[in-house]
Amino acid sequence: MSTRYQYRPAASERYSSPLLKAVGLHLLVAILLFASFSSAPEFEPAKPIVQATLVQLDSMSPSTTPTDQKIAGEAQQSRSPRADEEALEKQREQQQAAEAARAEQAEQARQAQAEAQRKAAEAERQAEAEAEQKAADAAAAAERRQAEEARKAAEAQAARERAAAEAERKKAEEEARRKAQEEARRKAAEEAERKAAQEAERRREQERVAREQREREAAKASALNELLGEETEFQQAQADRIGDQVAASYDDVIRRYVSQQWRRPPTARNGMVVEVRLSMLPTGQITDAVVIRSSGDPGFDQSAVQAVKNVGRIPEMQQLSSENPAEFNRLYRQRNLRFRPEDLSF
Amino acid sequence: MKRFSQVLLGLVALCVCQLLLAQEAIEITKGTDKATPIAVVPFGWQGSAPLSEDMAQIVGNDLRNSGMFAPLERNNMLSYPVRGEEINARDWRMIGADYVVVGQVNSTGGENLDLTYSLYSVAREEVLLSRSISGTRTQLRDIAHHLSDEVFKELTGIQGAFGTKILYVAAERFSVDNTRYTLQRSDYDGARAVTLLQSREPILSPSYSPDGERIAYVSFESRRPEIYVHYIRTGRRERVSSFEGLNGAPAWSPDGNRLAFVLSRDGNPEIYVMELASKQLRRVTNHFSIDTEPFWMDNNTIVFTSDRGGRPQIYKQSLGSGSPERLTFVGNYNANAKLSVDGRTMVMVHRQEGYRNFQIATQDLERGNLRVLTETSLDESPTVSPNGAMLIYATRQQGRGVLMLVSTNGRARSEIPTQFTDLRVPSWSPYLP
Repeated sequence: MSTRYQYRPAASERYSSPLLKAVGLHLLVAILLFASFSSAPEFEPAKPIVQATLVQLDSMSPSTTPTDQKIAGEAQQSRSPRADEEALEKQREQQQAAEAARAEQAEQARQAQAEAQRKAAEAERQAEAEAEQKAADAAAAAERRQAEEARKAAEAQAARERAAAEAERKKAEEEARRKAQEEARRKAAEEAERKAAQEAERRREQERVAREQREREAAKASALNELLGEETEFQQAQADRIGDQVAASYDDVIRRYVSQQWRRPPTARNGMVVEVRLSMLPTGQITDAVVIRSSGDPGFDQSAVQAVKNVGRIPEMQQLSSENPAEFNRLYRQRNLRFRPEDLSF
Repeated sequence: MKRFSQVLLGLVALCVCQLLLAQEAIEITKGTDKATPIAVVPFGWQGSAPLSEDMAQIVGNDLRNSGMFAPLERNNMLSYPVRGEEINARDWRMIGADYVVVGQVNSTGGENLDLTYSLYSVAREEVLLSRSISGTRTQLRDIAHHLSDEVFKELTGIQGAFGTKILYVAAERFSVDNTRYTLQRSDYDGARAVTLLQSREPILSPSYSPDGERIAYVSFESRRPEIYVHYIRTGRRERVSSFEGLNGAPAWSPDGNRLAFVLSRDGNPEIYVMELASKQLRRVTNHFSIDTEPFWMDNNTIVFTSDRGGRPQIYKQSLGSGSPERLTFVGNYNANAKLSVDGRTMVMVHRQEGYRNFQIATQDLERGNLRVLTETSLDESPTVSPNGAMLIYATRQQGRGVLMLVSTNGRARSEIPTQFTDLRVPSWSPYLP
């Protein structure tokens, strides 16, 4: 640095002086800048506080204007005697350097301030954006929650409705099934009756024919036998086919008779169970009723036995036992009845 | 060999199945019950002045009201025994009595007397129960109801509720703008009515506390609905709820510490529960539809009426959490549910699908089946006896409000006798000591 300084008076061309000055100034500025930042803490590194930076900026601007005037004045003085020139030059350069440093610092401060402002704005924007996002998130969450709740409520309602509908449907189905069964049973009974009537009619007819035949020719007796034989087989087949349906309808007959006679004692409760075995003659006459599984309540047991005994006779059984004694023997000569009330108020 | 035995086993199993199928028991689930015929013979009396009450008659009425017994006419009785050992089984078999109740009342000095009674089974020809009850001449009805309770318990296994009380409101209209409302307490059968409160403005929804010591009701005495708790013994009254809008339908929690009621202070009627000691209030329902008529199922569950499904139906809400659960699905209107103490039977105002009249129906909460009990058409405010055997409801006959007593099995029904012209909002007491 000092070498360049001494070189300058030697090269005393007018045009080179400003260039050198400028170079020197720049160097000086650089040095001073460095020095001022390293040694002198007049300028605190700009803090990103908007107000503070603005104050510094304001206080700087008036100081720049007089310095500019000074520089202009000194430029004129540079044509004055050479003795002062150096000192003046030096002074000017120092001033310029200081000035430049100040300007630089101001610039830095401005930049810092701008940066701070930008950052603050950014922060604000970000905060705003974040807040907005949060609000949006919260709203979305609330909406989601509400939607979820609504969905759940709707689902629950739907489930309830489904359950109700299901119950309704089941009831309807049950009803339909029951009706169908009843219908089937009724039809079966009717059919059986009709068939029996037809059969009886046919038999009468055949007997008439047979009688006529017997009367006309004894020789045809073998044919008659054949015919009767076929008749028995047919009857058996028919009974087998409709046996189950007949049985179901006879169960119902017994159920109806016994229910009509069943007077439950005041101690009876829904869900009590007693099982009674009834014994019956082919005439439908009930000969016995005994408890085979007690409910634990003697009065309740007794009410079931009494209900069966009070029925006395089930005339419909006569038909079954005469038409299909095997079926009667299998199903009704002895039969268990399970008494399990469902219609009580307790 | 092994294969053969397997086949044999299969055949045996098949045969057994066949046999079982053939022997399947016939299920009998319905009966044709009749009330059990019972004879309550007029009680003997050893004393000077005749007794003011016919106690045997009261016992007979009690048993009839349960719907489970049919007391026989006195005129048909062939003998009038007063002690168990005097009963001749044949006399009672002749007139079709299953059981006989006899009693003898003896004066024990001054106003005091005691009743010794026996319950006799005609079928077993033996005395089932023989006891003594003492009291004073002013307690004849109490003694009779107590006897009824014991006989009922012995024959049915169910605790009797003939010693319980009911509350109701009587309105006496003197002119267009002059009506006197009184809160009445009487025996369950309407006898011995006592006025607890009198007002020129309506009184609604009286309700007995579980300890039988307090009553909650809604009174319009300040021209707007307010809920009061009334101490029966002292007559002291405490205003517990006087919020803006509706204050209605108070219902006691089973532990007696809380009151559920309806407030409309938040816009529309919702169910609230108040802790009576601290007066702390808690909202139970929250729905834009009408939620009303709370009743406690247990200390943690409330049933209420809501039209949130479009039409009024009964819902159940746990106080802990969760959403309400709908309980009624039959009928297009179900409201004002009350439960029997055992919690198995719910009683409510019910309108059948396609009908316009309101009737009282019971719903078995275990099996779900619903039974319409009444044949009248503007039935409201059902209330159940603590044992669930009877219920009382309000209805209208020839333009006046009457209270009807009906057995839960639907067999017995009678009107509660009264001196007033217009009765409403009955409420059954708990078992009283």
